Amino acid sequence: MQLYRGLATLLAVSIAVAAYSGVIILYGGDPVEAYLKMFRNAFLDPYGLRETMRLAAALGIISLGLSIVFRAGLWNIGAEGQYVLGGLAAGYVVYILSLHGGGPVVPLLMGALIGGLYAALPGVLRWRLGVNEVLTTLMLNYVALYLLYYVVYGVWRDPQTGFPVTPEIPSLYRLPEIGGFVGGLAIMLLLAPVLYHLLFHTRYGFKLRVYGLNREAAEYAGYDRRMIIVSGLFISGFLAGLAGAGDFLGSYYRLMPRFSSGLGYTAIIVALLASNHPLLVPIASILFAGFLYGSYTLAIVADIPTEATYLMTGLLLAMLVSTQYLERWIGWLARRL
Amino acid sequence: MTSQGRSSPLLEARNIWVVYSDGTVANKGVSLTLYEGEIHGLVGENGAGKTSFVHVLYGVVRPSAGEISIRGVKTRISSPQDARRHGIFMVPQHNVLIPSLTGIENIRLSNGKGAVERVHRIVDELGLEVDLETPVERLERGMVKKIEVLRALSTGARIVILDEPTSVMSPVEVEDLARLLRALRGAGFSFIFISHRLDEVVEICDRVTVLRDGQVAYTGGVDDVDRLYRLMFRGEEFLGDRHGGGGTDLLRVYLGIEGNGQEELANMYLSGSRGFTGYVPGNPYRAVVPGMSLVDNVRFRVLERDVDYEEFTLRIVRSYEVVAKDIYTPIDRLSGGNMQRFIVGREVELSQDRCVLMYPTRGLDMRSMALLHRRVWEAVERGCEVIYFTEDIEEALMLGGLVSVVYRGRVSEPVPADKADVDRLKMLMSGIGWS
Repeated sequence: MQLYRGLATLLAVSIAVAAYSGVIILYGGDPVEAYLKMFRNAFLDPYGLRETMRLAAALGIISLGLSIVFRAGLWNIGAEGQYVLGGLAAGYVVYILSLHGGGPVVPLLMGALIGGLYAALPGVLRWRLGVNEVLTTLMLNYVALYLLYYVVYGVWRDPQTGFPVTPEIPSLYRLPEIGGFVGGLAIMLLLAPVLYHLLFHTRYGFKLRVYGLNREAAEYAGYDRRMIIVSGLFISGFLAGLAGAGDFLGSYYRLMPRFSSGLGYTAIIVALLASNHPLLVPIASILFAGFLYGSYTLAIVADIPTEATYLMTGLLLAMLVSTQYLERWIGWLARRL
Repeated sequence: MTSQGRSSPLLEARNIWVVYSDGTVANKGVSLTLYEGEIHGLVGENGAGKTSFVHVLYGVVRPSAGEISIRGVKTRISSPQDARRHGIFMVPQHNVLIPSLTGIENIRLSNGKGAVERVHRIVDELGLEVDLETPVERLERGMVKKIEVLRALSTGARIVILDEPTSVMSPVEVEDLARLLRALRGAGFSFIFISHRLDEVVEICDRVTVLRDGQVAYTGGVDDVDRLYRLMFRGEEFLGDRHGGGGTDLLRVYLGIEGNGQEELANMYLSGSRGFTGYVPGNPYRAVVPGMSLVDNVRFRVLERDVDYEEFTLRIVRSYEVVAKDIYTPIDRLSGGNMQRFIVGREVELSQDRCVLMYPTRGLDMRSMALLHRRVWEAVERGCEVIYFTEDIEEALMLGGLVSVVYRGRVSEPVPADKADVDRLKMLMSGIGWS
């Protein structure tokens, strides 16, 4: 079964890559050359590598949380909003409360905590009223987004520039850079084994997985459904909020309207690509960040439109969501041959 | 019995071999001949190869060797669609009709308008008593099964494979289905009737084929149950260990067709217990975690308790004869019967002072049933109260204990199994004789 799962994922990726190559050919390019260029731009160029790793860190941290909650069979589609709200909460600590003690630590934790609570809310609605978490988490993305617009275009707007951005934060709040890399990457690499342990070597993680594999069985065994739903969503929101606060404090140093631009959605693809396995998430996120950054550069240098990137990510998501069917189909094929 | 049947074979399967990719040999040269207007029983214990064989006939499984002829013409059946084109239709064990629609609506939806006319013609010509105008969800299960048979015929099928059609029926409903099949047999339709209830096979079928270890152990006329039983289980004696122990308070048996209030009764027993209460729910899939190993399927049940999971799992696998590669095999790899025995074993052996078993032997063959009964009695002897739900009178009597009938939310006066009056139990199950 493990083998079929792997083959299904490979098939999903191949189809998406084939579609992207098709677009490159349509635009008169050479796919092989384009992929080499993407790789060079994303991993061999120092500036590109830094950008790729920054993207990978944010994607990876969000995906780690999603891999936990997806294992519980709960679909948190709201990482985007939780990420944005994490940035906003950190901004609140910096701009409004102006708490200096501890530098970036307080706003960072505040962002994570608020992100977690923002995700826990749909969890409460889920167990109290049975509201589908897909809808609530998705809709709350817009709430967070418009809140961001409100502060960026209004109350927190930088009075000096007049652009819809908030003022740059003072350096004492900024996350330190480690060897030219953003600290986020280190955080992701540290978190991955921690979450792996949580998921596969603790009672809590075991319960979460049982709930995800067969809800009725979890109830039959007397597990507390409320605890699993709310805590699972909280963890994923916490990490998305952490990523948002981290990007605010570590790479942008300010808030702007395109603060997130779809990271929370892309992280869903990364989590699925990693089969919701925390130890595979870092690899998947680095590869995917490389693809994303590489394809953006391609848009600039080779006139391949960014829409092609969206086409590929969308197709990849659709294919990955279908992996269980692909898996069954491959199994069926294997039996026939 | 098959006076008209001896004409020419309708379907002939010769020397069918089924070898799966993991090396399992399910059929070792099975042959079967089905005549026109014949009800042919197919029996064998769990894992004897019945399912594999009919899957070959229905085009689900490709045989490794052997051939199939229909009306004397050699035929390859490569898919269920193909089988239907050749006039073969399989009625699965579990209901596949849409509950909110009537029988006619279901037939029209799946097979079109012509099919509806065909069914009306069959029903009128043979004077069949079938309710095709009530939503399926409001019908008894026996009636639903009759509709499924007609739906099969509505495709123009001449051969219908019935996979354990009676496993969840009351005796009266079985009798009713038998009447329908006999009427259809008279009209030239043929049936392959899979069952593990030998008494029914003797009652309903014209001829029978007994499978054992993937081979035909017997094929021919049906005579007495004892002989068929010995054929099925290579000469073992017919369940000698009928547990005489009549009226122990610790074994309460509730006899009745599912949906008569058993769920509520079980919940009552589940709520009023101090120690760990074992529980096999009516739908056993509620009690397993697919994708997890056997060990983890023990662990999830007693996460907070101090149990050596691995040792316990091994014990269950051994004493309940669960066939598995090892205890780290994902539970969904087990066959239905093995999974069932595993779940029942886990629950019985974990129980401290009470154990609630809902239809624990459903779908199991008689030997597995006897095994589970022995284990249940062992639990009773160590002082554990066992609440046992069954739909099968024979089983209730065989098991022993105090028997009550459950019917439409009512429970009859418990009687010791060895003093129970079979006819009275049958009547109560069918709703007759309640004051």
